[in-house]
Order: sequence, then C-alpha cells, then structure tokens
Amino acid sequence: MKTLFLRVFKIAMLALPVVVSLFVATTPAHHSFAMYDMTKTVTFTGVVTRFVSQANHAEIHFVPLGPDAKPQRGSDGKYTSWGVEMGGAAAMAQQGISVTTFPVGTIFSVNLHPLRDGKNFGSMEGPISKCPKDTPPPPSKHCNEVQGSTSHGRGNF
Amino acid sequence: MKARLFSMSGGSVQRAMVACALLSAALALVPPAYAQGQRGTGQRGQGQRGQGGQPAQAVQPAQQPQPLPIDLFTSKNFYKDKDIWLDKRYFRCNSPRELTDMWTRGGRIGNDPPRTAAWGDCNRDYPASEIRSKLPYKTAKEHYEALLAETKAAGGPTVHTRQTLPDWDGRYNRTGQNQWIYGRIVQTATILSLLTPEYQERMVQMNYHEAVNNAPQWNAAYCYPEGFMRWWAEFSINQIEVMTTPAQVQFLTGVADNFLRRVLVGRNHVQQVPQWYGETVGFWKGDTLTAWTANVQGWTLSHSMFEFSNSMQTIEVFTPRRNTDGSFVGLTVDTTFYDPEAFVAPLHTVQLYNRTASLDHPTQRYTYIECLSNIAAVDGKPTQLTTGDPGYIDYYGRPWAQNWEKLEKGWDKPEPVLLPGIFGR
Repeated sequence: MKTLFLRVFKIAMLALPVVVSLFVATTPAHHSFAMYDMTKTVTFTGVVTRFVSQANHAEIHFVPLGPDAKPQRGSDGKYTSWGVEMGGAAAMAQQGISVTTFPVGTIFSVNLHPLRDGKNFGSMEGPISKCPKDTPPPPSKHCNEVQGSTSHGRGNF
Repeated sequence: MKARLFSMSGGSVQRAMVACALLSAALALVPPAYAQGQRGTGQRGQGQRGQGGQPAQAVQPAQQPQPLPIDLFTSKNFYKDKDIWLDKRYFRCNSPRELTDMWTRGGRIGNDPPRTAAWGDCNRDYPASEIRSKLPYKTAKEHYEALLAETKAAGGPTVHTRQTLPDWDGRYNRTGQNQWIYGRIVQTATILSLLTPEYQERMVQMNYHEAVNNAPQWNAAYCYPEGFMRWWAEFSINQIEVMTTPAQVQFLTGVADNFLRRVLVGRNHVQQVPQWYGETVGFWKGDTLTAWTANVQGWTLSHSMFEFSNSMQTIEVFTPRRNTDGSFVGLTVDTTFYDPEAFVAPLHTVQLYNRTASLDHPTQRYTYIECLSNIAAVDGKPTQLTTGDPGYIDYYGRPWAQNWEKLEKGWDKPEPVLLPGIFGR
C-alpha cells in the first residue's frame, strides 16, 4: 500500500504543474470538482463496460487491467469496476469520444483525479488513449505505448 | 488497488518536486486573463442612452492588506461577523468566483485549510454604482409602463406580420465579455453591499460553505432547476436559438439544463403561481423588443453569488446591432433586475448576443438536455454515488430491468458477457 501511495504521489507531483495550468483555463463543469482530489492523478488502463452518454458529463465505466495485463477482480471474484467522468457527451463526441467510438470491450488508458472519499471513480485529466481492438498493452504499459493506438481529447497523454 | 501506475526514480521525484514548486508558484502569479470590463452599452429607459458600465480595473498581482482579526476563513461562526461582512478583507479580497473555486483551482485553499486560503486581488473591483440601475424606476411595472407610454407616443407599439418581423431567427453566441454577474471582476463584499440583510446572510452562508467547508451546492450537480437568474450566469447557457413569430419571440438554450423563454407579444401576465423561468410579455417598437418578466420562482444564482426571491422581475430591451453596411450582426440585451426583497436597489447588466448561424444550418442542432445525476448530498456535501451505492441509478443500463433483477435473485439466468473474449470468462 505504501508503494502504491508513493507511486500516486510521484505521479501527482509530476502532473501538478500540468493540472494547475489546465485548470487555469479549463472548460466549465456542471458540478464543482470539490469532491475530487485534484492534487492526485492516477493512470489506468481498462476495458470499457459501459459508455454513459450523459449530456452534462459523459462517463466511461471500466474494469481496470492489473499488473498482469488481466482484468482485475475483487476478493469476491467479481470484476472490479471503475468509472471516469468527462465533459458533456456532445463535447466529448466532438473529440472522438462517444458511445460509438468507445463500445463495450474497448481497451483504453486514461489519467484521472480520484474521488476524495476513495470510491472507484474519478475525473478525467487530458486525453484518452485507445488501444487497437483486442490489443491490450503489455504488462506495465499503457495504450499510448501500443503501436496503432489513437489519442482522443485535448492535450498529450 | 492494483492498477498499473507509472514509476519514477527517487532522484527524478526530487527534481520533479522542485520543478513543480517553481512552476506552480509561477502559475499562481499569472494574473487572470479576464477583467475586460462590462461593455458600456447604455441602459434603456426614458429613451436615453449612454449610461453603461465602465471597464473594470486591470487585474494587478495580489497585494495583501492588513488582515482582519477574523475573516471568513478563521471565523468560528460567520453569522456573528455581520459587522465586518462588507469589508472586502473579510473574504480576503476574493471574488465570488474565486471563493467557488477555492478548493478546486490551483490549490488556492493552501495546505492547512481553511486557514491558508489565498488572497484575491484587493485592487480589483467593479463599482456597486455601476451595478445599480441608473434609471429612476422602483419597479419593473413602472419601467415597462414608461417604455410602453414612450412607444405609444411615437405611434406604437409596432404590430409585426410575418413579412415585417425583424429577421432575428438564428443561432447566437453570447460574447465573452466579462460581466459583474459572472462574479469574477467584483469583490464579494461589493455584491453583498447590494443585498438586503436577509439576502446578505444567505450569500455569506453560501460563501462559507463553498470556500471554507468545501460543500458547494450547484444546481446542476443535483439536477435541481437552473432557475431564472441563471440565464445571465457565465456557464449556464451556451448557444442561443432565437425564433420569431408575430405572436412570440422564443429563446432556447441550455448547458446543464434546458432554458426555454418566450416573449409573448402584446399579452399580459396571467400566471397565478411562480414559474421557474417566469412569465414574459413584451411589445415591439420598430425593431426593438421590450420584455417584462414576472411571476418568477425565487432561487439562487449559486457559485458564491446570491439568491433571489419570488419578487424578482426584469425588464429586458433587445436591440439589433448592425455592421456599418447595415447588415444584422446580433442583439444587445439590456436587463434591469427588480427584486426589492433581495436587492437594495434595482441592478443592471448588458449582454451581447452575436448571430453565428441561421436556423437552417445543415449540421448545427440544439441538443435537448435530460439532466441526469448520481450526485447526492451526503452529510451536507455533494457526493458522487457509484455502482452499488444506495440511490445510484444506472441510467444507461436499463435501470428498470435492474430493479426487476432484484426480484430474480437465485434464478438460473444467462450471464451477460462483460468483457471481450480475449480475456476469457
């Protein structure tokens, strides 16, 4: 757990200037981001289980891939579920992120700011990297490092 | 958590931390790129022009004055501090928007919240005298009747046919000029000074719980109604569709929720109960449209601004703007807000709509918004519900079927395929 914390901290420290600069001129939201810990950024690679085309904030629900590049399961044997919130569905579609471009089963990587309360949900930071169909990245890699991957959204992954 | 994370060496972490600190400090000193000032189009009434607002002062790097012994961020009970609410130092010179963003933008709350909350720019303000209406009217009714009398004296109101209607149909963007009502270019104390004591108290309560307690209550977060005054808020509306007929002029817009407002031409107010977006009647004087909104449901502008009451009424004057060649470019919308319960005087603002497309544009569409939210107030704070939480609604996952499935526990049913076959079952 300590190792995990250190990793998250390292990533947060690296990402902080970028996060700060982005939020100086970011687009508005429909709710405050107070519930998210904007000082932390975590990178996930996962498999889409649902694309939620909400007008205000689209969401992708996914099962993260673990260090073994396999979908994570909880202690009950069920798949672990995470969610990431984005901008409005129409705005995201203009950036190539929609229910048609991210169907169930899509493998992707995303950076997110996690909820302060520790639940498996976060707010997207930067673009999403989509792996080629049915091509998960090798262990310890993310989609942006996979040949043929595509980037969707603003900024660099 | 077993998610895959990037790793770094210890030395690189130290370098990153130093770089981070330097960059963050530099960014914190960058003055905001706003403060363009409200455009100085004159307030409409009595046939006069030229009473517009003056540009806001340019934002300077924050200069911290002598702090008060107690302020919003050190108070144990803000209700007891009423005597110093109108001192801008009580809010550490933060604008309402900066209070709203205290916990989310640039780490302004500091590392020992709330004591370490940042100061805003004490030199920045938009004078209350420029926010107050300069017209002599005490009520919207008085204002409307004066404009109507002036119009009648000139032979109006104009009764348009489809052939004579001004060609206002189209899609408009509200221009990005800053407005006091956006809460960015004005001291919080200045806005407070325009409110009655009860509404001052409500606003400080909002300021405290947003900036100190990290418990913002934005309407859209819960899919509450946006409410009438959110029409003038910065991020509540985007592109506006305007459609005119001889009987009414319709305005349709929305970001988090839909706004549909109609100016009913030549009609009177008849609603018996308050409406979320009021009831609007109006008349034409040539190509200028005057609109009177009444029967408004009191609500909140939120975002560390203020609430308004059921007494809220507005007079809006829509005037066409043209290029030098006479071609139509958009509308100037001059609004006077009357709310004697909430405001110590009528308030005034001017916004510009620029037409960007016609209604028959081949690709532009208005997307009707169904506000869906899984954010709930838990112990007073907005909390994101996730799958499995009580009250969570899986809107895009056949929620009705998920309710039935609770009645099917233990049944032998086909198992849905969750992930691609490449991962096995």
